[in-house]
Amino acid sequence: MRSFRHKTSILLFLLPAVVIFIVYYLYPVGFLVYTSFMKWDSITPMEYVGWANYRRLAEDGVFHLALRNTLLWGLAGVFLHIPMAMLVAMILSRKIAGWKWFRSIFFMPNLISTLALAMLWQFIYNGEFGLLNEVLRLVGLESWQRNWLGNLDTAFPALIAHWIFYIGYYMVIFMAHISTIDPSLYESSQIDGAGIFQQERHITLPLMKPAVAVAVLLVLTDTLKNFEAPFLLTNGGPANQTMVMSLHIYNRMVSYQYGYADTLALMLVAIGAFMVIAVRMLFREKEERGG
Amino acid sequence: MKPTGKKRVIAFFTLVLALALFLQACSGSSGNGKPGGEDAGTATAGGNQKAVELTFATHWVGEDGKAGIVQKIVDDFNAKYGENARVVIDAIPDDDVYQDKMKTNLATGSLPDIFTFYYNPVESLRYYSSGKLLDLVPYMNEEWKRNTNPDTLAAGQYEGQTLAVPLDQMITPFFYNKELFEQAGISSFPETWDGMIEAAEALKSRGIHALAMGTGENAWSAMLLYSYIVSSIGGPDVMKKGLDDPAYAEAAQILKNLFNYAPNDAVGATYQQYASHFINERAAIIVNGPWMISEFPEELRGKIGVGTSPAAPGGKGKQGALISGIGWMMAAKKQDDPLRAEYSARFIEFFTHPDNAKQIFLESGEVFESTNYTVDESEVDPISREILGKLREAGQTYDYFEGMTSSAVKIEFPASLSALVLDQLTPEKFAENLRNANMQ
Repeated sequence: MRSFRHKTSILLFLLPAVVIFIVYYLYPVGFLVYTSFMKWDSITPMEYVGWANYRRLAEDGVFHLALRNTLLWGLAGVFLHIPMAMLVAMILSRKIAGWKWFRSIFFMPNLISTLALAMLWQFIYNGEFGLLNEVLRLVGLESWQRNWLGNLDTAFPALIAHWIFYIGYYMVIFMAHISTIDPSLYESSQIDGAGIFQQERHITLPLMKPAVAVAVLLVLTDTLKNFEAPFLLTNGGPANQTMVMSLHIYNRMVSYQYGYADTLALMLVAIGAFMVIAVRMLFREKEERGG
Repeated sequence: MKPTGKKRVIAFFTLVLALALFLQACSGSSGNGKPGGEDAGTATAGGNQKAVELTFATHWVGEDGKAGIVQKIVDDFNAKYGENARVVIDAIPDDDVYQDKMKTNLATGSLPDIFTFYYNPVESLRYYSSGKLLDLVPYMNEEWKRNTNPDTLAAGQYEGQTLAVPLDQMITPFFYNKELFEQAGISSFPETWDGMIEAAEALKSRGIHALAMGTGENAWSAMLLYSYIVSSIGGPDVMKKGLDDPAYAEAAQILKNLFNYAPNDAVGATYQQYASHFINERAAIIVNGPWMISEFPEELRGKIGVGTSPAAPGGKGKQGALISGIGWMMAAKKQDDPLRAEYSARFIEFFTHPDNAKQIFLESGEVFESTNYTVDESEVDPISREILGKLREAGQTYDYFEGMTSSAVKIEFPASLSALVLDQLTPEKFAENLRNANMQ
């Protein structure tokens, strides 16, 4: 009886969260699954088309490009963005001269809206009067000048480059985690003759693993949702070379192709779920694996 | 440990509060998209009367050439009908974003009380058939009918109802810089596409870009230029027949050639970027509408000439033609509240009244298609006067591509255009992409 009451109390307290989860997550995902089998313009009644939307995925070259770019952006986040943030966090955590000033400088771009940054970088990259081309001219590299956002080879790297250096957000996460590491570990390693690099490699990096797991998860989910920068800087061009999943979904939506847009959105949800599971498995604690 | 009675009571009321807040949040939406249902937007005017508050969503705000006159019209309406109705502007500055937002609002049933949309025989049907627009017929009194051109009104009629009123006549000539032309030794605006290439070469030799256009956003100016080329080859009715005509591929080749004479940032350039080339006199020609006149600085206005469509060899279009068609439509959301319905219709009537239509024309150059009004030529700025003169002389008028095709084609056009310009697509494949998009 006591156990029943106890369990009932728990269930009742969980009920609002569960209801919210069902209404705002499970129901929409279920709706996506349902409408992915429909042809629907959101105004007229839905028309059942079976697997047609999924067959269209296989044939849709823009989807393939968008998927590739979205995954590449995620990989750039994991293998470039986060390591840079880790490096700067480790350096600033050593409390070098002016470290507080540097911390503010690195974090400041994260306070600026994506719109403002996009406009700024549009003018940096512009092929007619952009700052980058002007700098190249000044240093005698006119041959390197190009229309950075309108060139098939440079548009996507340029798009990633405008974001990759704004490491402030993850730098702060890593610095907060490093500050929780027991200083006595560094002191005792110093007594044993360990240098700075050895300390960072054998103490800081292993103990940062939980923060890295969180950062990897956040950067992957952020890049999956990425919309503003591609929309503002390139609108997916030139020739869809910078198309990403969220922008492709948006384009289908404003073309009244909600059935296909929902199919694409479902793919995005599935990719996101796969990434979460993969990251959790990758960063699973040794204690759990040991049993 | 077993919870005490006091703790159980606190837990119970916490749970009830959480559920109550949750249910209240979920019940917030209503047919008009505002919390609280149909009574939302009702404000107290003077005395004890309640004035309805109507939302007019528009992109004619901020730096737009019509922002001032639109605000004045709204203020005048509120002054006249303030005891019963008050219109509030919902500003959505960007044209493309505004259109996308209205489409989303239509899909989600959250249209503003009064709004506009671009006329397109394909896309407008979505609005008309949605059942969400107010039928204006019951509100069209004799004065309103007298002031309206019945032929044009047909564009807003569906199954015996008048669901929208055409606003402006979208005329999009070639604006060219006469001074830059003189510098390049060009005496007149080209009358053939070969002549256009020759003029572009002459300008290029002087370090001047011939055409201000880009593939960014919806590639607006390039799309208009493409419309001219297609129509000059296939004739003024070519766009009414679908996208199968060989003129589309042939025109794509000419358009691609003309991109050689556009600024270096043309691929990916947004409207602001390529328009600035023309306004700052780095480019000699731009295809756009009279709304751009308000953007021309004073020192540029005296240099602007108005050009018309060149002819294509063996083409069915005539030299001197102009793109001219219905631009924006104004509509109101269907309302259950008769007062909201009545004043939504009254606002549309007020907005399109000849006096206001005339003021809009004089301040922005926009010609109102649906409304009968006369203008003394001495009141009109020289550029608008020249546009109207060319329109009167035009042997043909053309449609514009975006106005005749679906949203899917509008999105496909800039992507395929950048691929065409960058040699990723042949002209035939470009036309095929547009056809395929049209069938989606």
